[in-house]
Amino acid sequence: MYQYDAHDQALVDQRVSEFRDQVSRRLSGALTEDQFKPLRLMNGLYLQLHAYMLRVAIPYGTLSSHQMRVLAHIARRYDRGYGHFTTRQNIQYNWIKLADAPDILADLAAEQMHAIQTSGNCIRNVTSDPWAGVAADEIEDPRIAAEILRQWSTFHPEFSFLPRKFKIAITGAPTDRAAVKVHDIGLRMHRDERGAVGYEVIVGGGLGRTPIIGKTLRPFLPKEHLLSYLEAIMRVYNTHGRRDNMYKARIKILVEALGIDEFRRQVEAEWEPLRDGALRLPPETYAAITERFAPPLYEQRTGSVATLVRDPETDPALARWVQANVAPHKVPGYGIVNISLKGTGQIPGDATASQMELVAKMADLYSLGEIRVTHEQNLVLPHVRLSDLPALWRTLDAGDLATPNVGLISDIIACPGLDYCSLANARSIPLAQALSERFSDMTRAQAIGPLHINISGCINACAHHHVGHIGVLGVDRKGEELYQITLGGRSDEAAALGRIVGPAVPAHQAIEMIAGFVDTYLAIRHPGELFIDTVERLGTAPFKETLHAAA
Amino acid sequence: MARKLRADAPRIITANRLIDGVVVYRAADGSWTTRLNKARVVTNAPDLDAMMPGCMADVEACQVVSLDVVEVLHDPKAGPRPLGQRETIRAAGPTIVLPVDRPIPAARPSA
Repeated sequence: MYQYDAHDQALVDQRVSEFRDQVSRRLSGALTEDQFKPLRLMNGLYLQLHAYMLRVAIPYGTLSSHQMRVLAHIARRYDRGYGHFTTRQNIQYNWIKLADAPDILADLAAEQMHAIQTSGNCIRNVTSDPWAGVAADEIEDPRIAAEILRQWSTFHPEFSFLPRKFKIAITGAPTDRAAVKVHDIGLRMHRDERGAVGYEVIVGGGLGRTPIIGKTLRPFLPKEHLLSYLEAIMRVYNTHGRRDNMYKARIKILVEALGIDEFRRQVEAEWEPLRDGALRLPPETYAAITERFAPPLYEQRTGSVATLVRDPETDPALARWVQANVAPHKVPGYGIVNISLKGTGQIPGDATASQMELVAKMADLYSLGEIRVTHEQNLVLPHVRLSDLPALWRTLDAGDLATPNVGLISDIIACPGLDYCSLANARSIPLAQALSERFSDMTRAQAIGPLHINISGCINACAHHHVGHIGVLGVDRKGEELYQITLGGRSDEAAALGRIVGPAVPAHQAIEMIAGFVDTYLAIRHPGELFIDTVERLGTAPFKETLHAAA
Repeated sequence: MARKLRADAPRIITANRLIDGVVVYRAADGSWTTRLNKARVVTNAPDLDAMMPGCMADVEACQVVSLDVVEVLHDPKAGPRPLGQRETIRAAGPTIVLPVDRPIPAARPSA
């Protein structure tokens, strides 16, 4: 895992003392709220409905067990004993006091963490594949580039006051688990015809008020040009992105307005004088960062996830969990364990301090001390020996962390919604809980197969509802909470936006609609066909018929 | 919220406490209370205007932020009740059962 060097640590420590001074000046009245708000947002601190919310960065979703224990400590000491893992691989605390924020940041800094650039109009936490470094289908570990981007973008003086926030995602595998096509910049690693590794650069994707699938800006960018090329993109955006209307300020609007060809022309013109300058990344620089992500020393082992599942000696409940939650590892005899934070009726993404500590302990015992956070609001133990799975499973189960539903219908992605969020129009969590109860039969869930439900409480789309196989958007119509349903969205390499089916309806009807869609799918699917593939093959028409039949 | 209010609608003044963000309401005695039923309800513009300087002074004095005037349902006996889901949740907290940090029992032994 990446460890801070003296420079990283000094940077973060200085920011803590700077923010401590700013909070003190705010509380004394030396700073007004208008002056203070941008400063607190630069440190991830929002004012929500009931309290302050602190968003802590988890760079590219990678955590050590020590860091997870600090997250648990913060939940217990400064919050109400729990935290919420987000769709950007971060963690949020819901009940923070302004006066405690500097101490929290100091506790985070002591274990190489911070809340820098988790808010505000800057380059946010770079997200990546939660299976980075261990996925069987990976070309190279994408966290190396993500770390280079973190170093480049942190406190970048030119990009600290962008027209709007800016999100970058990177995948090192052909199967896109980082949703790169719905980010301001998406980077997809691949090889050119000579076998050299580089990136497809995708730009102008995004969800929110104006959902757009990103467009290819450059099909292949050699690794050495990563920073200079992204700097050129940022400069064009920073110069021409709209600052007069926050709803039209994201890069996607600029790309649409100029057209991808004109946008490309401007980026290339900006890039030309930059490309062989100080931002060029020589192989030594890559090598130095690569060393910081050196794979652990694995043991020589054999066996695969598939053989374990098929083995008649395996406990059926364990086999079910392994089948749903354990993915193939690049090293024989190991598995990638996905820990569901979506137990039946639970709040998606929430974990108590004790659960975080249990995961930290399991990481130490069974995963070489390493943990990942997924944009689907789950956790991952990336390096588990297959022979350790039974013991790990039993311990996780005792902590309500062994629900065998990863990627299935009850693995629901939901934002905090109107229960916490000052931007929300409707609640997300109660609907997610009700759907989780409705689809709590794991045998049936596995028969339904992979199906993502994403529920956002407002148009800002924190739960990425546009790219849910079934997307749900909460709206407020004259004081009534209603839910607008979409079908056919996906965030993987074949990213697509869902299409609206039917009018917005109250929560109880939304549940019935979704149950009806599932029944329809089961009735019309080809053998082995996934939900999303049935929707793509037949469109929304057969599902709309379900609605008419129910009406 | 820049919502247009009816001139005679019952209204209260609400804010968040600066130091911890807790939801507070302006009481009749000019203090801030966390209890909605202690909030002063006004039904005309002059009364509302008269409350404002004191509230603004508390904003200046770093007591509260996010000052807002919101409409309520008003029963003179029971006191004000929130109108709409957002204000209901601000007044009463999340509608969900919050996670409880319980110690985790040891794993069940293997079969």
